[in-house]
Amino acid sequence: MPLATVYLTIMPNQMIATIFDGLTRGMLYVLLALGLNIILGLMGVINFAHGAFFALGAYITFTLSQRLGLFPAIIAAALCMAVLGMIMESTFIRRLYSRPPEHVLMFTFGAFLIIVQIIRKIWGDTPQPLSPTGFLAGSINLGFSQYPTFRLLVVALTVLVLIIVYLILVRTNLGLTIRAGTRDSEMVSILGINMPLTFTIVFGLGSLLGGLAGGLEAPLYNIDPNMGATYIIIAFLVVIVGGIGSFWGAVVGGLIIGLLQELTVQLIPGGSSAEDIVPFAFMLLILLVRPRGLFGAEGLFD
Amino acid sequence: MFLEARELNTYYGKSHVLQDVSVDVDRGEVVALIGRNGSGRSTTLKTIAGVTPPKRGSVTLDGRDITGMKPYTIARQGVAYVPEERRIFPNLTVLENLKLATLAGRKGRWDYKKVFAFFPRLDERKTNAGKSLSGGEQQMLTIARALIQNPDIILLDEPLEGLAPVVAQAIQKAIMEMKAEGMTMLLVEQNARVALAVSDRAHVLSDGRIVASGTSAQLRDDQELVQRYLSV
Repeated sequence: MPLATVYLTIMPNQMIATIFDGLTRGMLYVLLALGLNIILGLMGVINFAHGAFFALGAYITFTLSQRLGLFPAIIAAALCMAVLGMIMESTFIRRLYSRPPEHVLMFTFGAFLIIVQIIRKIWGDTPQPLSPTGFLAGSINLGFSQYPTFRLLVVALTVLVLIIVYLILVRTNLGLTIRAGTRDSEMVSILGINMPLTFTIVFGLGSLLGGLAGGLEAPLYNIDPNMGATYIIIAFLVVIVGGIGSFWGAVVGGLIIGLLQELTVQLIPGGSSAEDIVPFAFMLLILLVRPRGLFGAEGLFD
Repeated sequence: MFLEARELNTYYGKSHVLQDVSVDVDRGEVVALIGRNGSGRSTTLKTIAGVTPPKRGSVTLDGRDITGMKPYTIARQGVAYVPEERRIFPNLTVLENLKLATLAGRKGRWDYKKVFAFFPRLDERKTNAGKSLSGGEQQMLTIARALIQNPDIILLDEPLEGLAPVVAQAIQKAIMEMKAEGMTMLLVEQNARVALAVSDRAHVLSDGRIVASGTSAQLRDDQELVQRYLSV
């Protein structure tokens, strides 16, 4: 009998709570990976700075929450990251599109290092705790157990954001431009569409998702300057598992990885030491079966 | 002249692909560029469209200098470029492919209704994805995408390439009808016989230079020229 079945029979409520924890964690991965994936899909930029935007989003949330309250701070931090992303694209990254792809990769990696050092300078090296306050600090009875309100907010907000991003992609002119540009951005500009502007907007959108993930992560775990490095690796892994440029790939991939990690930690004795390995093992498995990822063969934001 | 390209010099890396190529097209005129593969015909269109900007030379449209502008700016000035590879978006439907072209295109005579009347086959397939279209349907769509922008001039690159004879004839007929409607076109076509049949004037290119120019009727009758630059 598989281990999970054993747990489900003897401790059904704990099992359901673990699944919820996994989904919450997965939601963070989904947001982070989706932002990364839209940028990678449209502009072909492997954006390491995304991890730094994630960390910066968490720290700005941390600081702003003392004045604005937690929820407004999360939104404000995400918007700050959108602006920062647009500035970075329009001042630096734009100049690198015509160069070999490793140049822009080195730039985003450098930007990541610089932003992390700035975080250290401002907030210091030690991890900072940030707890949900007021209404968000409580818990809600879901039947199987009391579940923290803030975690439910993470799930609800992520689902809402995913719906919005999806509607942007399939219903708006911007979405039409993104879906077309992901396949052939030069042809889109031949049709008269201002692609440089579109790139800047999309970079802002992607960075917003990264910053939002950071803000939502901050009250769940401690924040520290290195948090971006850990998460960006998982986010890349989710992109690979889901398929480069795929909306549903990021969603399904992120949730699976979050669930797998949480189940490993909770169900396997000593599992927390395997927490970082499980996603890689899963990625290798997927790549053996579907080399272009779960949704990769079907293509990009179709 | 409406479109004036003057002494264009374009490079791919170190290779000097266009050498002092000058082309004029007047309003309502169809001008053909003919020559063997690699003679620089397609590059001339790409250079005018801003896809491969020239190192030297100039392009003016109705007297306005558009040299070195980005492809999207040139498109907005009324230049529609129909690439050889057709470049239909495979993940978008026929309708979405057209809609994308209307976003920055101008309003005018060519709307969805007129485009679908012009290519009834596209009307039948409007909800199908680009990737499901046949070569002929893709060619119709890429021309339709140009028409619906209501451009002042269409740069048409190898519209008959790779098509079955019957389909190629249908596209040739469509080009003739566009000409009858008064559409200004600069046409690149591998099949010199077809190119000279649909155009008013033509330039012959060889190794990145223009080696002969004239009315299409004159060039059709010049057997020596045909032997030298056009026969494979």
